[in-house]
Amino acid sequence: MKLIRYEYPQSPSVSAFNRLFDLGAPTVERFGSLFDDFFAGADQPAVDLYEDVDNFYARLELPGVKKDAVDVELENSILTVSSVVASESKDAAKQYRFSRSITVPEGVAFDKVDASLTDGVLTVTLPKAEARKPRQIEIK
Amino acid sequence: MSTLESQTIQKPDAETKARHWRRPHYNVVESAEAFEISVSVPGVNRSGIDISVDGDVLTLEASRGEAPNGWKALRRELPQGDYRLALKLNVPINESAIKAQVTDGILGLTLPKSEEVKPRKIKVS
Repeated sequence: MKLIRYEYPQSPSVSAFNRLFDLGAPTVERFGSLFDDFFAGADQPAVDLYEDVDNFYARLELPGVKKDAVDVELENSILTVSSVVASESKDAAKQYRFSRSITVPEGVAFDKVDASLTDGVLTVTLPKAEARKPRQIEIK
Repeated sequence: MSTLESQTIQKPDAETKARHWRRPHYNVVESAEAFEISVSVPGVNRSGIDISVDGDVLTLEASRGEAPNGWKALRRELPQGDYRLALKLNVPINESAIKAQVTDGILGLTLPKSEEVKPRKIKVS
């Protein structure tokens, strides 16, 4: 089995602390919001990371966030998804921001990264570079 | 202010054991005419939502489908399972006029109050 390095987000915020509670128990409801209620600030949404033969996929749940409001950035193999969400109701305008960074697995073709937002779920497709894909080698 | 109370309903049938449920975040706003509920159901499209009213309990179930075939999870932080929310209605609502629509992973529910609880102006003659 190949191990892929996965690092915690770059900003050492409270949410990273929250995430300590998630370790080893991904199916249990997050404790996270408990602490977020006490410490206001940029929220860090949870990320799922998947792999198939051709791509890596990072998935985030961003309910109610419009496509234009999301900022996806890739720099030095760190993928950052951030947004400022403004919601207006009759008597109050609210705004909240979130940002999440993950270290992209090795061997990603950076120029072909793609992102789509459907039904409130953002999927970032990180294609593997040709050299990293499994190859069948012909015997001559 | 919300006059709806959330309630966890335990149904010890086989189906609940087989599926994982997760309670979605929701918000309730009351107006003179109706209750507006918005529920966060990321990953759910229109066909995956099931809303039912049984007596004074409104039950919402929403399935978000599995990750596509061949995807191997390297790390999972998001809670798994489908959404289920049961709300106890302590104000009579007009069940036949419930409206629901889902956009960008937010389900908007409009529960019109039934006529007898709507505020009424009484003219002094």
